[in-house]
Amino acid sequence: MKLVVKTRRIIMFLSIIGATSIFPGSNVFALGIVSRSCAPAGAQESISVDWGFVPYALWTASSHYRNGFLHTINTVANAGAVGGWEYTWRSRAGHWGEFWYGQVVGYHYKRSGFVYFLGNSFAADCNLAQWGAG
Amino acid sequence: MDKAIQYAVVVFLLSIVNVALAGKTVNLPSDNSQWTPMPQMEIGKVKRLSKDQLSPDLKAFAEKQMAESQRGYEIVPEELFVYSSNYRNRLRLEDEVKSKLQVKLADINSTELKEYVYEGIIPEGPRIDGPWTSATRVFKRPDGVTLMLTEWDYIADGGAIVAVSELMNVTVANVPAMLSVKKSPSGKTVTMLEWSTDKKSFTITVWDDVDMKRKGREYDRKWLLNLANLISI
Repeated sequence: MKLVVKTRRIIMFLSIIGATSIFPGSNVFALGIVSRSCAPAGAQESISVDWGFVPYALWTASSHYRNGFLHTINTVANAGAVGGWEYTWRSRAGHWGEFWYGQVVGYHYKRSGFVYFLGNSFAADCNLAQWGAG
Repeated sequence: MDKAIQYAVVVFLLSIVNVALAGKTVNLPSDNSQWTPMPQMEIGKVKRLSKDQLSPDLKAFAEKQMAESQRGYEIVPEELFVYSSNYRNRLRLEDEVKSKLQVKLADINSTELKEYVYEGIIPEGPRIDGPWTSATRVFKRPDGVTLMLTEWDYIADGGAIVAVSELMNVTVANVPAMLSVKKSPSGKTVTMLEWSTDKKSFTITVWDDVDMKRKGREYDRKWLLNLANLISI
């Protein structure tokens, strides 16, 4: 019985991780932007990420829409952020615990002596093929 | 109760809550500071703003950079210099990526870059598999210093740019530009020259300090600005 329970837990864990993870195996390491609306993981999010771990000053916002219900979150509340700006290789704005498929729009900014709006990202699914999970 | 079953029950209850909420409507947020740190930006354009027109946080960043520039260099974390070596993991041959490059690369044939060793190109953009709206060409200078030329078609990305006036300390091709030397706590240095036209954003990164005096060829600020002006034609 214990083995069955343990196996079930492992399968559940792996299925969740499998739905949300992908090896960043592409050799195109660069600063990418991605959004996800991922029901299996409960993740609605937008991320600016550099899998080569190069840091930038980044600011990110994510709007989540489903059936007339819209809300937005940004990196202002992220730990260590100053006004939402983080010096990091990965800037994430998002919510966990939202187990649905909707529309997610990301807003991605980078700063040096200029302030750059990098553009929008869009997703209506887990979007795992773009810039990986994390 | 078995924890796996507990988890499944929680997921099931959450899905019921979500269904219940499905019919609820809310007003669109009118405060666009929720999704931008800079409401003055205009898509497809480069704007110049004074630091006094920025949000308090951005103004503070700008003033810190101004103070450091007056000293002669900005302090940056050591992690920035990871890129000075791990960029090699990203290099591709230009012929491999040419068909998917959406950014029109500047013609460098009238510059001294054509005499440098061309190591390759790093494509970038919103999509990991292209089309790529940004690209960095990597060169090795005759003295062995790495130089990177990055070009971004911000219009193709639906992007926007703001130049903070007080930080623009030089001019390239008649547009304001920023030349900065950055140092890590351990003493590593990099020089960056950034400028944006009505078509593209450019950055030249020299993994060296252009203000350091050396015997022989002077790869100084004047050299860098001259190179940038030729590239931007």
